[in-house]
Amino acid sequence: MIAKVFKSTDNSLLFALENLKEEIEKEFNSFDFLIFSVHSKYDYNDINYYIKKVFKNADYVAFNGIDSFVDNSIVEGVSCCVIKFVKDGKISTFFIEDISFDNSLKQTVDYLNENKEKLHIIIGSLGSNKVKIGEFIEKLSLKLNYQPVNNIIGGISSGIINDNEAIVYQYIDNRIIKNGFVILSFENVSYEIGISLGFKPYGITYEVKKADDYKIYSIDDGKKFSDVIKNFMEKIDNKDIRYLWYTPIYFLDETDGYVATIRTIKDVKEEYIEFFGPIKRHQKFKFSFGDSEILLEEDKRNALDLKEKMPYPELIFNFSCIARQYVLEDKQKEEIELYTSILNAHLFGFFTFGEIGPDKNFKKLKLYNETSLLLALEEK
Amino acid sequence: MREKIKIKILQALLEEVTKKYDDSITEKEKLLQKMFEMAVNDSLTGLYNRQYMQNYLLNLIKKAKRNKNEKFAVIFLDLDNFKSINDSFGHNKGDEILKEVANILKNSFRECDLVSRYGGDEFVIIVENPSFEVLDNLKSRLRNIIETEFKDFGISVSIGFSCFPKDISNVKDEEEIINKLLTIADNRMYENKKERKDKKLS
Repeated sequence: MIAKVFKSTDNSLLFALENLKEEIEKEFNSFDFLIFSVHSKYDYNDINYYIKKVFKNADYVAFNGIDSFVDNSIVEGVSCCVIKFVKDGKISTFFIEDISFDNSLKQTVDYLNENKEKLHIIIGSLGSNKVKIGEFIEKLSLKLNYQPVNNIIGGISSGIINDNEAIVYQYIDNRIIKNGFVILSFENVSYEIGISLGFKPYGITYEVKKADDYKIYSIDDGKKFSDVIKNFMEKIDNKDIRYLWYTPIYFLDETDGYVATIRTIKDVKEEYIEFFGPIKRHQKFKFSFGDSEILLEEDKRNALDLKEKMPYPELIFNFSCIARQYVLEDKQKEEIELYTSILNAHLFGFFTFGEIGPDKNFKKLKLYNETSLLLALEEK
Repeated sequence: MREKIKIKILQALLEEVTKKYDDSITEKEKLLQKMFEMAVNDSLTGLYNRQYMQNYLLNLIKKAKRNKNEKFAVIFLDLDNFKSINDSFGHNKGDEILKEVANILKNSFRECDLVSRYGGDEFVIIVENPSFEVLDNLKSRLRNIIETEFKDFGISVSIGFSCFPKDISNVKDEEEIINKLLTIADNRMYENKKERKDKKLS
């Protein structure tokens, strides 16, 4: 596989795409597939039109990424990953426009079960008010008929919020997918997945008493969780919720052998605390803490582990949470610099609104928060 | 700016964790206390149960073996005519009366004395270093209080007591001493009951 990543920050989407085309043509006579990350400052109605106008009949998938990773750069514009197979590699796509717990869940489960030999990169939206992507992923996970679940990875598109509408869509085949997802299925590739949490759990364990959807209402013997968090914020003496991203809650999934998932606080309400992922009753958690040094240390370990499993990857994908970037502060670039320097391959990725990947034991699929997922691949 | 906030976050985290530990310790202590109470208390009256009373006696005997001056009395108290209360007024009324008697007994002895429910309408009280005059007075005092309190129900009490080491001679085994002390006090309580019955009839 020959893979390379390109970027343009031109304020006009058309010009940005034309810049990209010019750069790509310098290096590729032909290619098999294009993956675009497009900032949501560009009008989403234009994305399919301009890609088709500039790249004609090229096979592509595009998605909103508030910032994307192009090798060592963080790009606020349009970026493109170009893939050309030289052996037997192939890419196909599958998409669902509106997720639901009936038809679309069944279609997706059937597709994944029928294609268990392939590697699937899933790029999703947040879902709808009725069905959120996190719950969909969890239900999907329970219906997969194979183990280990080590072939699905991805992230939730990220974008700016206009009039309560988060522009976090996917674009394929002249369609704008607002409440669904796209799956890129790779055939004849070897791959390895690495998961980097980084945050360290502290103290004693709490139990979720009442939860619904992405919200926690009460903990332990019925104590309001919002009181705990409000008290916490008073002590910090700052009402900016983003400061709580340094101390996300760390779920301990004991039934899966102490596999952890982090949940980041989205909103503090009088009656509940809202997170960026599903919460279930009786789940146990601790508070955690992380800063750039701790996170980068874990990233390094993750990349070195991956390097041991796959010494010469041809392309790396990175799905890293936007809240994690806040905690990395001015060292955001160091995360991708670490990955590219250790794995020595081109890197493509974006800041996500949630990461999709297997748990550490490869038993289930999870929607992660504040996590950095790494995928290394090479053509067979 | 962020460094200061991060320090505050860590401090708040530490405070929350410490508070949670404190809460957890308090909860565990409460649970242990509750478990201890359930193990040693009679669930109806809240007095110590028979098992605890016997362990307490055992410890007193061991103590007395080390300290030859140690003396104590075992008082056996039985409610007269209690069965007729259950038969006539029902078990709820009977339970109510047992609870009231338990309160009277608790208030009639020193904090250092042990008041227990032996079973049914029988109570055993252990009094350390008693004055025998006091014990003699106690019989009539307790009878007066209970007879007055439950006048409408015709309840009275029979009391007997045994004394350590006075009533125990040549018995070395601690379990045997306990049995003997209880048996003597029980027998004396029955004698007392019989005497009072005979007195009434004559």
